[in-house]
Amino acid sequence: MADSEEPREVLPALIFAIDGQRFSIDAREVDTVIGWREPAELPGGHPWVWGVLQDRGRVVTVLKHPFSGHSTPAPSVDRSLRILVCNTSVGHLGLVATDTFDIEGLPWEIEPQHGANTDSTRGPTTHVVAQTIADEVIGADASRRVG
Amino acid sequence: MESSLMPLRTRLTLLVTGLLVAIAVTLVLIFPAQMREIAMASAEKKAVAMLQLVARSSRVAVEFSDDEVAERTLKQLEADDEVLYAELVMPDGTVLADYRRADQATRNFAPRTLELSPSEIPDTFITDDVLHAAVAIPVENSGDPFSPPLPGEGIAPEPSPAPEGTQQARLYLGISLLPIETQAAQNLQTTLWVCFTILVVGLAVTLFVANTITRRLSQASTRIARVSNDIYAATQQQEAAGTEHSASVQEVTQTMQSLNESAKHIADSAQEVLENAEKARKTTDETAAKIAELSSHANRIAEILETIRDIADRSDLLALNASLEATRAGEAGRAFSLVAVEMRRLAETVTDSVQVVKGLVADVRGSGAESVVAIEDNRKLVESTTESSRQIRMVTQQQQAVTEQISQSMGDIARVISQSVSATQQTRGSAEVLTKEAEMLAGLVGRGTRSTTTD
Repeated sequence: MADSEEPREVLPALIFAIDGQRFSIDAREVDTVIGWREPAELPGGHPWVWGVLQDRGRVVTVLKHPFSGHSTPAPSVDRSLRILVCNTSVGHLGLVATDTFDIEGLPWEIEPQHGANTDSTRGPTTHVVAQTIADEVIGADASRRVG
Repeated sequence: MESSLMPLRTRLTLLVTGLLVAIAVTLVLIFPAQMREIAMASAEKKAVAMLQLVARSSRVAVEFSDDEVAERTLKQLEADDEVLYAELVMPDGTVLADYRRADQATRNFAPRTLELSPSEIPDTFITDDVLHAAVAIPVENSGDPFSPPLPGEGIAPEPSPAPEGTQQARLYLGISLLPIETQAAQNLQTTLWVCFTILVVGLAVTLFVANTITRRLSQASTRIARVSNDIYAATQQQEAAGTEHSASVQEVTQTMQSLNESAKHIADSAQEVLENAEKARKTTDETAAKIAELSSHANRIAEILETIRDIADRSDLLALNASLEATRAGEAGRAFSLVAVEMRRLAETVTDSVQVVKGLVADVRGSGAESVVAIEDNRKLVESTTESSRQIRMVTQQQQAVTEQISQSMGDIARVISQSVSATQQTRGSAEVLTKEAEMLAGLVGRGTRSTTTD
């Protein structure tokens, strides 16, 4: 959970990249990082969702990209891909990464939000919040179902 | 010899002239004399015939000593202008009858000037320009001594000899020889004219023929000299050409021998190239086998590297997850986080090294593939070299055989050229002889030919 209200000066962030574009995520949101496994596609699922897979008895929903409607297509399937299994309030999300780097502390004055630009030792990054993504996925799925 | 140097025309002219002069002299000496003899014989026969005729007519007159009848008988001779006189002399020497041509009335003829007895006077004889003929007429013989001549006996058969003791009168007849002499002179003159004409015409014809022959001989000798000079020059050129050809053939023969040796060297070299190519092919096959083995090892290394990369990737994941766990653990997991970071570094280092090794292996495999291609090209090159060396060896062997044949042919040609040169030298010698003969012929015809023969 990244919803702690206490101001922190350093955010432990896992830096990863998708096809050369770097992202950062609060390391505490990441439960584990696993190697690539082909997710099972869900019939009638949201286009954002790649599919689901099982990891140690839990169901992980794998997304094609951290950002919905992003113009960048899903990375091409490669055995070097990795899946960041994140804990959210609604379950486990799987974020696909072509590269994963170190966990480093990002200095901050205001807690970075989903999509905020941050600086890492590897350069500028886009911050990703797994809970926000989960909320967007649920919202979108709910709206689809309602629609 | 001086005679041989005398021009042919002069010699021919002198020869024909001498021949013509001999013919003319012969004609002049023989023809008029023969004609005169023929005329004299004819005149003698005529006189004898006339005498016998008159004697037969006068026999009765003699028997009876009838001078009138005798005179009339002799008077009949006036019809012939050539009869100069006729006398009928009795056995006692008296003249029974006498006839004289009108222009001969005062002339004494031979029988009276001979002062011989009648029996001593020949039957025919010639004095001055008169042909005298005498015949005896038996007086007391009742037979007919002058019977007409039998057919085939001629005009004047000899009278039968008178019996012993029979009186004989004699009849004399003279015929003028002036017409014969005149005719002989005319014949001589005609003969001289004919001989002169023959001589002149003969000389003219001789000169014309001699000139024609001389001119043609001169032209022929000039042509012969020119032709012989041409033959001489041609034979000289031919001999020089033959000598050059002989030298060329010698050079070609030497060249053929050099080519033959070169072909042998090339064949030997081709054989060595063939053997080396076989060795190179074996070496290439061995190298290809080693490179294939190396490629197999590289593939094996690539598989191992992939395994190492998987292990490194898993180690990296484990380290990353350990870092995540350490992060979640807070201060308690700080040391663990450091270890995880180092493990990640190691994993990344291994991964990078694997990448480097994979690159190197890829380079090795690429180099191996290039080597395989190069070896394949080399194999093709070696095979091509082998085939080329075989063909070169075969071609050089064929060339060797051909050059040997050419060398033999060159030898034959050299012998033929040598024979040709010898024949040319003989021809040149013959041309020299021909030129000398032409010069001698030109000297004979009196016109010089310019010799251009050079030694």
